Amino acid sequence: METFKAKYQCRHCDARTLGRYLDRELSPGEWQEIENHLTTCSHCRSVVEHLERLSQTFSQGIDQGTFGLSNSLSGESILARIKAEKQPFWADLADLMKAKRNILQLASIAAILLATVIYYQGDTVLPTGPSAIVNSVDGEIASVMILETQVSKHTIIWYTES
Amino acid sequence: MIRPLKFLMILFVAVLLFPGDLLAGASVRTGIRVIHASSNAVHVDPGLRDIEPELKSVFKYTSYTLLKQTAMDLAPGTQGRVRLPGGRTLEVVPLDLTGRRIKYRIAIFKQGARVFGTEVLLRNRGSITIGGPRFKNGYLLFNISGTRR
Ligand SMILES: [Zn+2]
Repeated sequence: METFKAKYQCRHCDARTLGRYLDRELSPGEWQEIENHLTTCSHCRSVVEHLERLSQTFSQGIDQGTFGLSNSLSGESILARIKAEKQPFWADLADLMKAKRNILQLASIAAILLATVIYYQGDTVLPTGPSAIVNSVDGEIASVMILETQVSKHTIIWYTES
Repeated sequence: MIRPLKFLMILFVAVLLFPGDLLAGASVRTGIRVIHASSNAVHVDPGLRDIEPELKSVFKYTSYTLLKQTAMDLAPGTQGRVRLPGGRTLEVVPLDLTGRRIKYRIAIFKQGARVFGTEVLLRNRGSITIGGPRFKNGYLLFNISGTRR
């Protein structure tokens, strides 16, 4: 269960740069530099692969509007998908946020159902907590995502009818 | 990860079995705004200015139209209902006003059948936005706010 951070020690690239490399947000020169670096640095290579897999997990869910399970807590299935990556969930999500600032327009995925439940259950909420804590979600839905905006931690539930 | 879920289920059952414990407190001013989000135009209704930055930080739509706005005072356990486009109905029930947050049960019905349900703890004077149903080349969003009275 080594975390992304512990694993990532290379001085040449940081997670944000590698995220931008994946998003093709770098200048051609910078991009080529990273591209060359990846051929020699296994650290950075594994980070890139890792971010790529995570990004796919999210994008599949968002693009197709389904996480493959209907009539169920899709929050659970989102989590299940992430856990299937066999990586520590929290480290991953935090790193993904850092490295990929604009995953598919959803710039601000900061909380997912269970995350919210685990960390805020029992009303032990800081003043800076989300506008709403989501205890449960159900229904005839194909998928659901719980989002929290960066602006003022406004809670958004986005669901797809099945 | 499984344990909190079980805990939640037990909590949910407890709520079902002992609703009386939750029926304390005064009432809550519940505001509901029905919003049509689309990319059909570039426009944001003035009545949505407060949540515009939030919506725009998450969604890629360029047009946010306020289809309906309503507010009601609800005592704990009382239903507030709003008719939505597409044969849908939104139902909100404040369950508990005693904690630091207001506990709401929110459900959406389509042709009478319950299609979506959630239970949330809303910050007093805060709001939550729920979205997803397709409508006229876009999507419907529901912004629900609660203020203790
Ligand atoms: Zn490297």
